[in-house]
Amino acid sequence: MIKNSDYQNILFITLLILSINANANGINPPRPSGSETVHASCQYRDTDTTIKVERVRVRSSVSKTALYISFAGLPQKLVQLSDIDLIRMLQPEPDANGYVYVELHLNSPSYIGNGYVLISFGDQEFELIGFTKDRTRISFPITRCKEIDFKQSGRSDNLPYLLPSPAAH
Amino acid sequence: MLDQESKSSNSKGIDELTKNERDRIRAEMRYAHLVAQEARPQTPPKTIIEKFLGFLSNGFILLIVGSLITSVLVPEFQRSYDQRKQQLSLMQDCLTQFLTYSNSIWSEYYTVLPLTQKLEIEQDEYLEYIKKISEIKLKRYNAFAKVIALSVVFEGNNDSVSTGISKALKQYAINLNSASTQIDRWLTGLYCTPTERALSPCASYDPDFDAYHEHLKIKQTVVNLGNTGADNVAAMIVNQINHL
Repeated sequence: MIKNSDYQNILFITLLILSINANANGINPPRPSGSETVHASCQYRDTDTTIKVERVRVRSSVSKTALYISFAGLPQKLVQLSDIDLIRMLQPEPDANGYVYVELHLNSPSYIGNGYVLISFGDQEFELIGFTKDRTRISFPITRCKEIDFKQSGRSDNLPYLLPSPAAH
Repeated sequence: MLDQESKSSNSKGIDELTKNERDRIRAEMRYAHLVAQEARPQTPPKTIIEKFLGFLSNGFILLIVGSLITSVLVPEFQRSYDQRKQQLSLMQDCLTQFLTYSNSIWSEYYTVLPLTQKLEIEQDEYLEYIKKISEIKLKRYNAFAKVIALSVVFEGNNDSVSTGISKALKQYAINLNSASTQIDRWLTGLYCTPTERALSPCASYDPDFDAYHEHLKIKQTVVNLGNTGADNVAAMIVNQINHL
């Protein structure tokens, strides 16, 4: 006959086994594309002043969170804003295809060098949109910037910087 | 007639015995009595225990002792047994309520999980989730109130294990509240922090809010709390039940 204390022992042992073997581990949902929080500093070409844009995104017909970039002689590819560290315009205006020649600092893929960024398509000029410090909406054409510095929220400025790509030299 | 004649002859016979004959008969009787005494086996002297048992075997003493047992000892044993049974029942209830309480954080965590695939949510969706989470929280508060009330049963045993249970319960409650607050903050961030929308519906928001990253932090907290934290406290309670 099973005694009350035996039931207690069984319960305790079951709990112990569960705690060892059946630990819940939650679920790892995938990160939605373009969900990284990115801030940008744009240095205006005309006034030389810098404006900081929080939660920056792109207004374009292509993507809200990425830019078409061509570098190192490779075909153009969409690069997320969170993977870009710096874009320095080397031309004031884009060419007929909407590409502007730039100096690129990419985080992923790791690259520092020159390349091309698509900043307009047809009649549409691509814009950066986001919020100013005082929480108001702001948007301006990318062509207005001489240099754009991107920062992913939470990323340290002191991260070991990128190795220069052979194509940069 | 015959009876009267025999009686009269017997009385006459005794009266007719001389003094010497009477003395001789008496001496023979004494001798027979002495012989009978000598022939009987000798009984050893009684020990103290035998005397005590003999005392106890007295009917009156037995009555007194029986009365004492039924009026004092039996109710005392019964009371003690009932008390232990009740304590056991309360401890088991406490464990059940604690498991309900500790599992509520999983409910909360899994309720908001689908929102990890969203960049921001509108007011209707926010209110819908607030309602779901509020229901979970109310059940949790109910379970916690019961746990606290029932945990008094452990305080009766004034030992280190009982004190440990009270402390562990309090610490667990603090950690669980902290995890729940993280989930609240995350839901608020998802609602208040604008990404696609023109403006935030809230008076303020955290511009650095990253829903996915924050959810990973919540997961870490909840998994630790739900596994290690809950198991430790449950094991302490079960251990105390086993020692009862």
